[in-house]
Amino acid sequence: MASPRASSNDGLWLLFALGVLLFLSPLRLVWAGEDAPWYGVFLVWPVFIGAIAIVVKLGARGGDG
Amino acid sequence: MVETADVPALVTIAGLYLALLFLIAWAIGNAPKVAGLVRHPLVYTLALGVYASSWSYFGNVGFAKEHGLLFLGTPMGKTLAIMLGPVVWGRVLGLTRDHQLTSVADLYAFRYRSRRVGFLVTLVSLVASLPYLAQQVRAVVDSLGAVTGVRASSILGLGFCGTLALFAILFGTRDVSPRVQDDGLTAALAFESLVKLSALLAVGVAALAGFGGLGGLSAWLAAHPEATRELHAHAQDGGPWTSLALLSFGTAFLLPRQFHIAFAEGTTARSLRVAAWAFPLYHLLFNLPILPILWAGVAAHSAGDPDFYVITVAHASGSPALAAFAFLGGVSASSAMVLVTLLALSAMCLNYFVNPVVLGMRPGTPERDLRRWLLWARRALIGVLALASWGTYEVLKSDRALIEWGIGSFVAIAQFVPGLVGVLFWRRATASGVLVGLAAGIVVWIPTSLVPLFRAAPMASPLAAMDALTFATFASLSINVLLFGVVSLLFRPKGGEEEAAAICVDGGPAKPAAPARSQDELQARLAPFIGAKLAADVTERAVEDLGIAAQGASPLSLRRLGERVEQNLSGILGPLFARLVVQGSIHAGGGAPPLDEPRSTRDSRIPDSGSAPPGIALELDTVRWFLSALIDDLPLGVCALDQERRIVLYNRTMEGLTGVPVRAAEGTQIVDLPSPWGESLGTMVVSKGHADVEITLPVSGAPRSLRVQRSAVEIPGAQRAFGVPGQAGLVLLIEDTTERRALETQLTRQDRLASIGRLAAGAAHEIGNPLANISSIAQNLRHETNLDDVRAGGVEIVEQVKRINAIVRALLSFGRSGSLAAPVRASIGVTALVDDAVKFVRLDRAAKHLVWENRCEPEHTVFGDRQQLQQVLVNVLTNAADASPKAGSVIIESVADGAALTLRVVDEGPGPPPEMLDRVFEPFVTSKDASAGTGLGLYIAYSIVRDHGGTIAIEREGGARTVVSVRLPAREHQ
Repeated sequence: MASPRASSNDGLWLLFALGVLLFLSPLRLVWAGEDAPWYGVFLVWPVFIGAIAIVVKLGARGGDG
Repeated sequence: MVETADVPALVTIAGLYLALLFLIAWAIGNAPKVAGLVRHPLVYTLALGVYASSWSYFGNVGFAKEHGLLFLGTPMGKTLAIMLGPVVWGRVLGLTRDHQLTSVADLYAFRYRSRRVGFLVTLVSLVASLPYLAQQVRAVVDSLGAVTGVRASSILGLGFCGTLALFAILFGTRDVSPRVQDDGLTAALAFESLVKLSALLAVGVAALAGFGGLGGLSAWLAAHPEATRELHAHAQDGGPWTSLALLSFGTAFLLPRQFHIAFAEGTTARSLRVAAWAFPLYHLLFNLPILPILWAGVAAHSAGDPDFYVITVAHASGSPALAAFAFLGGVSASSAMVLVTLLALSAMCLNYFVNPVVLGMRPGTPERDLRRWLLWARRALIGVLALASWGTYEVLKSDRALIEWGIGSFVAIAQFVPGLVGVLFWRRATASGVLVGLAAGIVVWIPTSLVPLFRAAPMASPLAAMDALTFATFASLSINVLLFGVVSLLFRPKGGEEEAAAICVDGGPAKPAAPARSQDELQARLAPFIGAKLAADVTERAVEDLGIAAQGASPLSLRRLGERVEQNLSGILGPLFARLVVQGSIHAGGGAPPLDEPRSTRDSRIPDSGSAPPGIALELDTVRWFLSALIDDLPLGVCALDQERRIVLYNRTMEGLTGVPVRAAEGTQIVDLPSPWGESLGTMVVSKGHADVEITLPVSGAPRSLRVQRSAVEIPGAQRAFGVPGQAGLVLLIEDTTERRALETQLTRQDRLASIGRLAAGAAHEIGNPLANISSIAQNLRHETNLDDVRAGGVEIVEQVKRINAIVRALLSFGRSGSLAAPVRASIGVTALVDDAVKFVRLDRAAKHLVWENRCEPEHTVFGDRQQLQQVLVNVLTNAADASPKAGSVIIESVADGAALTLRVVDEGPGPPPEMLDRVFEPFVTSKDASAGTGLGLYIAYSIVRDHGGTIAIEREGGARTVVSVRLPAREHQ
């Protein structure tokens, strides 16, 4: 069974991959493209930060603190 | 519009603000009670906010004006970098903490075992940072101009640099080592981060208020579609965005100031976890007001530089206080960046530019106070760097956008990324590869990024500048990566590099120095290299860190002391020079894994006492001592070994068993323990056989039975938890089983006796009836025949049947009660007793051919039960007859000995084998064939004699005679 720390780290790596797709790939055109609202980025970004916080907090509560 | 503020007033405000920072730093630095608060992860995150310089504060608005949403590329890259803090940067944190590394140059020099690498990294950091520092000076001077409406004198920039240099000297160089955490500095930086964020948010709110709120802003945007169109114009083009994000991702922790705050100011793993989300959140808040401020500036048709819309919008709001606050926010962003960069760069320059010269002189005078000299050198370097920052500001062309002054630094610092990959992931990476790759990257960087800053801005579109950035980034990094890889593969890593790669990539053990014989000797060896005072300081600090006895420490403690001294010196001189100094005076020893520490020192590695909150440190300390006492008090001997079979844990029970004190044992090889422990346990350790054996070794002069169990020690999850692989060692558990063995033997014997008793009782019961018949038939014989021989035989049969009957009754009694029947004791003449016994024994055909000599004195008597004593003699004589050669003689003699009488039965047999001598009186022990003897004869004799208060012994005399001595009371005990 994976340890809490392993799951926390795995979660961060998954989020990182998602972040690369969101922020560095053509996917960002979805929220930063011509037709997107100017505040799109300020909706995507905090959701992403929230996901990081949840993964880190869950990992810490699972015993890696 | 408010009235134009005057320069002296704003300079005074800025001066007061910096004085407030001084005050905060001083107050916090002298208030240990708030250390726990200052070291809170959120304060750490705010201190990391030093990343947000004037680029973020002022430059992003101008950048957004020219390049739209591209300005978000940088914070996006930072978000991705910081979120990996717990999984990637945690490893760097572990390396910097374990090896006292204070900068990227230290990290590289440590990994690649090369002063040249450290030198080049420092040089690149210096050259790359100067334009970035100059950007901060320009931001302060130009923002002052934006507030006052008149161009401020560049001399103000010099004053700004000088003030910050003074701050850095006062609060950042109280100890020569940058690793000494300065809570005051951390608190001041966190305060600055709050100030600049608050100022920017306040200006953002003012901008929104200028539109009449969000609704007004939406209406304005609807009326001006070109505003949002321009935002998206460049965001769709992958090049600049990706370049910016990659640059900020790669340099997030590699910029000198970021590395300094992230790793050199007592960072903890918990801080990194909180920063993973809190730092991106800080940047999100920092970037929220950028667009409203931009649009407010555009809407006001501001003619000023868009880089300073933050000031002009605040100014336009009509509030002088907000304008001053916006100006202070800029001062705050710039001053934090300059302050930490000065500290970080001065330490790097000291280690790689100054120390080689100073140590090269080899002062050789123990009185020389090297520490003080180094402190002043570092302070001077801060001053020089501050002056160089102002000088760079003077020569760079100010018609370029503010961001352009800093972005070139990013490209240069990004050249460290390939080498960092080598540090963390690639064992094959070599110093040559890093040197060639980094040098090539910088050669490309100079004409593409640095030189243009000294030229006037081209008239081309802003997009051209972004294309140039993309080109500079990818061209320099491509050639860097290519050469780094190829050259690394062409040249094999040297010995030191392989060792360092094992430490950095695999979390392997560091190679420690061999121990001196005492702390004084270590100190005396160091003094010629670094001066007596510094030598005393670093050794005493190491003794304190490790919590070991200053004098009389074990060899292992002294080796750890040398290792810690090297680490402490590393913070002062840099890792390579520290190694040079320590190993120049102490010869390097063999490799030693992290397990290779006594309990008292091992724990000091886990919690960093300089960073852990006192509560946790106290708790850890309590747990450590509890476990230590627990191990010591175990009734088992516990001896743990590292991979090199060196003793790292040795409890008091082991000390009692072996007689070797704990202090002498810890740190020595197991085979070096005194004989026979060394060879016995050493064999046990290296053997591939069973891990649980019983051995007999002398303890306090007496042989003891010991059970030794061996098991491997693995630390599951160590790789993830501490960034090091599971540490393998061995633990030996040694149990003294002597008493338990004796008890087990006694229990077994009693069990067997009980079985015998039951068997005997059963047999006796069955024998009783036939015996009664035999007796009556034999008695009848006397009346039914006249033949004398037959009648005599009948009488003899009756006598013997009586004896058998007595034995049967005794067996029955023994079987029921576990002891023989109550004897009827009287004084018995031994001559008759022996004659009767001989007569009985001679009934056996083999015994008839022997010569029996009864030499007992007629007057000698014994006191006891006739039947039982006759049984004793019969059993002893039967054994003598069986053991004697044909026609051999058996002599029975009596020897009076005061109140006792000894009957000696001497035969010519060889007697029992020597190894059986001690056991012949135990039941079922016999040297005869299984068909010839049951092993009960001597046991019964022994039991009877013991019940009579006598003794029985057997001895061999030269292999030709055996003597059984039965010592019995001669008369009734009074």
